[in-house]
Amino acid sequence: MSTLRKFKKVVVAAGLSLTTTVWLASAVLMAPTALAYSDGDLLKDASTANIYVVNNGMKVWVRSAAVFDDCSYDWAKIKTVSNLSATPTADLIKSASNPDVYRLEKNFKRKLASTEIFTSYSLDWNKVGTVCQHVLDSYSIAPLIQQTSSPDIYWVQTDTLKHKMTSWQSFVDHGFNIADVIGINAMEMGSYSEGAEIGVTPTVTKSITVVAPNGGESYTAGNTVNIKWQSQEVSKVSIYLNDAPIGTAGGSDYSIATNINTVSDSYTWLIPGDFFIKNPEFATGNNFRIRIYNYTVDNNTATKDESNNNFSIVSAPLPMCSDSDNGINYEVPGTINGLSNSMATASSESDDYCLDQNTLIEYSCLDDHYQQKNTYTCPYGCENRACNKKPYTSIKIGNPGLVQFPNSDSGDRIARGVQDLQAYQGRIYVGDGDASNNRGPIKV
Amino acid sequence: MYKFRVYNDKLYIPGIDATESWDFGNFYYKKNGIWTKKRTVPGAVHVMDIAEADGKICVLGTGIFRPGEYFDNNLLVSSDNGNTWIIADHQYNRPENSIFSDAILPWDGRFISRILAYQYSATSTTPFGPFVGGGLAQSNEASDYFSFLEPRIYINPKIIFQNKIMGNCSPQRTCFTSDLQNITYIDQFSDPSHIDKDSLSKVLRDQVIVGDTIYALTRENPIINQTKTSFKFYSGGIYSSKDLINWKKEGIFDFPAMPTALEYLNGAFYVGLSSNYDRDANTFIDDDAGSIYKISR
Repeated sequence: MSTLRKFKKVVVAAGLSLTTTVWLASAVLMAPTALAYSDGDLLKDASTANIYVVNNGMKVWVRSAAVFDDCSYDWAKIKTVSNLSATPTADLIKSASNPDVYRLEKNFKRKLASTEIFTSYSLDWNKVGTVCQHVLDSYSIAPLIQQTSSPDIYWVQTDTLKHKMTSWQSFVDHGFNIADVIGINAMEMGSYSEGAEIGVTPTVTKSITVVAPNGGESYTAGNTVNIKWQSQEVSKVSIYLNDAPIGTAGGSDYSIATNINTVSDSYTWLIPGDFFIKNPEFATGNNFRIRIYNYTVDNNTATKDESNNNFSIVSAPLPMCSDSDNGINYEVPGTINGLSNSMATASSESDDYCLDQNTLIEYSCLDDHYQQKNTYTCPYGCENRACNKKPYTSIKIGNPGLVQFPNSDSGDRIARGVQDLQAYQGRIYVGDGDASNNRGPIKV
Repeated sequence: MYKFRVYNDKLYIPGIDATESWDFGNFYYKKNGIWTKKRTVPGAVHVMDIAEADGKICVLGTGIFRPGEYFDNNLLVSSDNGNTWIIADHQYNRPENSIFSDAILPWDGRFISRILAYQYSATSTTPFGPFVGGGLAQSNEASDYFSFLEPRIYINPKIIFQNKIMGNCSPQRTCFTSDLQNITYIDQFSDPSHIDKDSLSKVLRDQVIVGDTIYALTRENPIINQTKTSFKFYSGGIYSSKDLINWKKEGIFDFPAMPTALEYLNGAFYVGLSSNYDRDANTFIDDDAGSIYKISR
């Protein structure tokens, strides 16, 4: 069995810290020195726990566990490094399938619409990182742009369409954050088409009230939660799960749904069966509340509500591991059915197998749920997915008929010969004699 | 003697050839350390096999042909530990002459045996007329008398393993039935006397059940027409199966005489050897006949 070491995997997504446990080979621990990394290397910053993918000598933040999985990255290949700051961060990215180059600023992306715009910023074509499409998609379009030296701020609706904010009041009314404004040059500003201006929003009374779950309910991962709310002057909402203590802000937010039309005032959420595995920053138990925000371009609006009290979510029971050869049984070819690692959500099968002529890979169950891989050197060789048994040896232990019938073919035709053997009460009984005749004693 | 049976914690020996007279056959059993001889089987020169089930004993008795008398092939059942018997099947019970397999097996509180039926011969010198049929027969729970199981299958039963009857089907064909109606040949190539499909020279000689596994002893590569002075080479194979269909070779072992009997005790196999016979010289040819070999890991 290879040596395993237990690590904490921390993924930071949209400002949320996600912590989980993975099994990693001990060999992946990295020395705290700056190293050159290869394309596709997966690096975990030991200080921030952020996970990055390397391309073109630069690192790009993988913003969530979901993005990591969507890109089919391998959790077991994450290398933990202590000096990741020495590796440059890509601020220009593109996907492999599309030539569009995006510039990353303030954790937003914006498409550079032409090579002239790219050149106008004196950017280096050799410093464009190519990333998985899901990584690219995980960045939101920069919502607010402002031409340097101009007071006008624009809301960016799409990669090519902007809307001028007519006043500071309209900016405030729409819940925009001044910190999100990105300064761009005139050439880039001119690349956007201009849509209708955004004026002051008429004063309306907006409200959202979470109706259910509102505290005291109990749910199990893998089952559904019927989320209900009442709203006024709110057309769409975003729904989050949060675990901040009652009456406090912060905590971890899990995005359940966004851009939900309020016509129905309800939403059925299927709690993923692997919720606590994929989102280990949440602890099972009576820790949860639903937060519902007014959905606009930014969910952090003043119109929101949350469950009045905590409700409970507990883990779905893990599938049990089964082993056809009942544990470590080197001489029987077995098949195990269990979770392949702590991140697995469904059982899978693994067969015992011969690694070479003498080495057996024997699977057994670990902690009732997981597969454990054991390496064993077979003393008599490995064949057919199992160790060969110790060879038989054959020894003569006697000839009980010899004294009575020293010359067996005298008298009856074949007087001496074992016709039957019988184990009875711990002894072997020998039926001696000629099957065709009546000579023959019973020997014990 | 040539056969042991163990039923109800008793070690039985059918009396293969009574030496006292031909009026009664014998059987023996050992229980609580004491051997008991019963000389009670009527008309049985040879008691070929014995079985016990549900408090009854069944023996297969054969005698000399005496037209008009019950000194012939009988299946007899006793309900009083072998003191008295009823003839549960006899050629005169049916319009055909009958000969039996050399085995009786207990089956679900009854007894199973094979009966081959021949047209009865009215002459005093010819015991059997033409073969007219036969098959597996079982004792009737109420009356003890045997009747053919329908449809008839031709299997000479040797052992019951996992509720399947294993035996020979037609000349030397190894097979089994699990429903008393259909036959499954163990040899995929339908070569009957061999249980290993990879070779045509593995003759089944004995078998023993250990837990959920049946082990078979074969004689490998038999040489015919041996003489006392000719080169003699005997090889025995032990094979295992958990379903009578898939067989695994445990090992092949060389012996100085012909392997004929297999038993298992405390983790070890025991193989008993017998001799070949030179018919021309009318002589025993293997000096190591009678030897017992222990085979263990």
